[in-house]
Amino acid sequence: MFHKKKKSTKFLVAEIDNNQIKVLALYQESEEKIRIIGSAIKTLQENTIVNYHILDKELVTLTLKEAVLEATNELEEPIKGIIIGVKGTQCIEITTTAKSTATHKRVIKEKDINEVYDRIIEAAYIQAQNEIVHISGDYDSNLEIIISSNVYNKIDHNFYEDPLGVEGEVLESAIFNAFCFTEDIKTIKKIVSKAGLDLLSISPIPYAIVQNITKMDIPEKTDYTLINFGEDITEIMVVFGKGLIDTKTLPIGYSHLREGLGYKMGLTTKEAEKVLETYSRGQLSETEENIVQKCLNDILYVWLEGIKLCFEEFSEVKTFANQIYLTGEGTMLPDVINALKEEPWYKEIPFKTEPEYKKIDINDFAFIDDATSKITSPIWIPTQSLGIIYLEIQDQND
Amino acid sequence: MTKVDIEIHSNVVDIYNKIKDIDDTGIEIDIPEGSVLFDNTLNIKLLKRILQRDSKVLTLTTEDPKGKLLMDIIDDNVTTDTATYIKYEPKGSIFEKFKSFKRPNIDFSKIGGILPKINFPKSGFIIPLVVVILVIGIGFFALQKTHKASAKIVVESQTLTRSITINVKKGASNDFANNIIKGSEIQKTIQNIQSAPTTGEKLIGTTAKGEVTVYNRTTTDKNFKKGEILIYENNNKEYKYKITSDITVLGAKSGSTDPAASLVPGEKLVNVEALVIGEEYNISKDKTLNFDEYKSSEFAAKATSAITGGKKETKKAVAQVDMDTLKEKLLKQNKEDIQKELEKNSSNSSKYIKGSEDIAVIKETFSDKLNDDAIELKLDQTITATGLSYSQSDIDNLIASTLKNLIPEGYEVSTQDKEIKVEVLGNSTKTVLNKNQADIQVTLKLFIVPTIDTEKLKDELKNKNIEEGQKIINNINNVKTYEINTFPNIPMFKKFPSDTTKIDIKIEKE
Repeated sequence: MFHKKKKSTKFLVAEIDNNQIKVLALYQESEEKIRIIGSAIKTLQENTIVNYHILDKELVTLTLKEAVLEATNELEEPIKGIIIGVKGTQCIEITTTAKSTATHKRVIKEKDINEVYDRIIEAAYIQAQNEIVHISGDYDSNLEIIISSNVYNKIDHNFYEDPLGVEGEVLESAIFNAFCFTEDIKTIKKIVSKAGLDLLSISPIPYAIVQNITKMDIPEKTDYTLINFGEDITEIMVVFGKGLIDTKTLPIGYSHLREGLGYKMGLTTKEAEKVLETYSRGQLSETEENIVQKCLNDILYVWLEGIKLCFEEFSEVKTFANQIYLTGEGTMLPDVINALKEEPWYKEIPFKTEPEYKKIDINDFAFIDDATSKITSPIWIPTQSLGIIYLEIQDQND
Repeated sequence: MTKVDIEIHSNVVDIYNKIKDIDDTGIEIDIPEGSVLFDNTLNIKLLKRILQRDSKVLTLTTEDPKGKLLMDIIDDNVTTDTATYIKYEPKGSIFEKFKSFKRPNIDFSKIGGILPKINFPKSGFIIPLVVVILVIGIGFFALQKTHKASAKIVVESQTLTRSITINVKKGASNDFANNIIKGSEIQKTIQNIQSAPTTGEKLIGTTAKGEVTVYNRTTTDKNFKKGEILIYENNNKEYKYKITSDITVLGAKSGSTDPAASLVPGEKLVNVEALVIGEEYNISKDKTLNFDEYKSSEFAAKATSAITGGKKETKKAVAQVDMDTLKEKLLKQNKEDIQKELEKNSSNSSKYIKGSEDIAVIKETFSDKLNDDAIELKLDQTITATGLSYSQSDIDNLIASTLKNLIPEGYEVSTQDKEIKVEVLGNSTKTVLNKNQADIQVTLKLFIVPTIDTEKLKDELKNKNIEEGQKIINNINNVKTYEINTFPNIPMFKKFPSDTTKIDIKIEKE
């Protein structure tokens, strides 16, 4: 994490997709409350970012600057501090556990805790490198930790927030680590600096969304799977005991639905976007609705197979919790939830019981207020989730 | 098996849409180099999965090295655990403790052992003793001759990756400071013949001909010009003929002195020919024909003999579309061939820049003209391509010049795992690609290792025992691990030979 102490309680969050940059200006109202005070979306030219790797730094810098300017133009003072969200194959998120067993009961000292933590970090790094090789065949890129967060500590199978000074034989800890490519970190730092901003943190968006859900008042939130059907990708996050255990990225997102529809109906991207919006509001004629449905079904067939494949790829997970939360652009379309509900895709996946689905709405994020009244679409959920990272930074600095 | 071509940017959804309706159980996809499918192994797995669902067998091929590796990973042909650990280069203070890797601790006392003990008989041992001493002496001499040592030194390496955009300009001089290198013109001419069946049709045949008598019922003489049209009517259809010479038909005259007698029409024989080809113009004798422009009550004609010889048939002929299609097809073929020729011309020293060529058709001869009767049309086409090439040594020199400032003193580029990729950037708003200049991107991936003077090191190691050798190697900076081997493997030869030519030193990057 790249922390800089900032006295200002106003800050920016940005989500950089392959084809657009979303920026929100936020204000920390209290320790538990954040208010949205400005927003902007700027489209990027094709091939500026490919597979979340920035190819044209200058253009991204310029677009980020424009987005920040638009998001803050009604504010009295400029905002410099920014949190940048990363996602997809741009970052690897893993929770790793390690145990230290003594031959007799002992008082857990800092040395014991550090020993376990060091082993976890070493194992997590190797795990992350292997994951990168497994995903993309890339043996050479270097990784760096961007977030490291303690999930739990157990001594002799009992949970302790702080194990220091507790007596026991077996110390077990789990730590969530998010890794990002060194090259990408350098690029983001350079872009933020050239845009005249201060980088507060680079944060994985899946982690931020999970942290947000933890803040929500939902009873069944301890163990679940979260499917974020985003703009270019779908991320599947497995959460146990409120901690993000593992994430898989399916390279199919809302943009594939839009482009597929455009291709089949002979529409431009903008026209296809409008058709999808009208469709999601249920305002198309029956004939038009049937055509759109047919197009979407073909793509969702591939998507659903991909979801199944991703679940199969979680080799470390023995049983999945039956609660599935859904979020992201794709959830604007009823067909997505219908496809999950109607198709028996989960039959060969070890779910405890038949999955239950719940769509996370933008209004469910109770600790975020929208002063602009513009942030109503689920497309903003990942971006606004990054707000929680600011609270964590403040908490850590305190 | 149906072969499906895909684009570099085709994703799984695009490909599925393309192949889902193909009525074939076998699908072959050749994935182009740099395809987005190789961004994530899930793409390949998903593609295989959905086609399997549709009971189709998918065969994937690619020339992309990364793609090949990914496919191996999917097929479980590659293991990753050990490899990644070795490559693991931790960053940041939290990892400091992992940076110092332990060097091998070799306990040589356990390797050699002691010489075998020989028991000799107590008496009459002088001769055998001499023999034994001789054998040992010869053996020692022979072993000393074979005495050699090798040291494999693994040094810490740093990755150096650079991407340089180079402008290759025809006629320019090398300007390494501005990344400009001299380009040379490369030219190739090829000739090819291709044929295709014709699709046009043509009617051929002969016109019907015969003789008619023209009657003049007026009292004045009448001149008819060659080409005057006569019409024969049958079943409400008109068949036209023309007279083949100028004639004058005298006016009708009274045949007797009887004032009541009718006039006798003037008559004249003339040859006629049907205006168009065909059997339907053949008519029998005595058929009446009328002039197109005169009343039949005044002038008419009658076939004096059968009008015959008319016939027609349909034949294949050259159509414009045949010429255009053949021209286009052969040009495409020739362009592909000439590109291959240009690529073949690339050698270790001179490299052709793909896509820089300007192609001109210099000769094009068809076997037949438009509308000619022909069942096949041939085209003989000659084209010339003028492209741009660069010298590999210029690129090497430019790289060396770039690296000069990047490599710290005491380091050098390792010859191991050196990767230099050259990519043509193509025509865009920022880059250029034509026969006169082209922008190419050279991506270097090299490893920098500490410079070790192996000859000097051999000199230092000669005659030293293993422990002394270890100390010498340990004193070299940035050595990660090393391995010393001596031959023969007996204690008295556990040292470096005095002859430096028998010491082999291999420097390897980690």
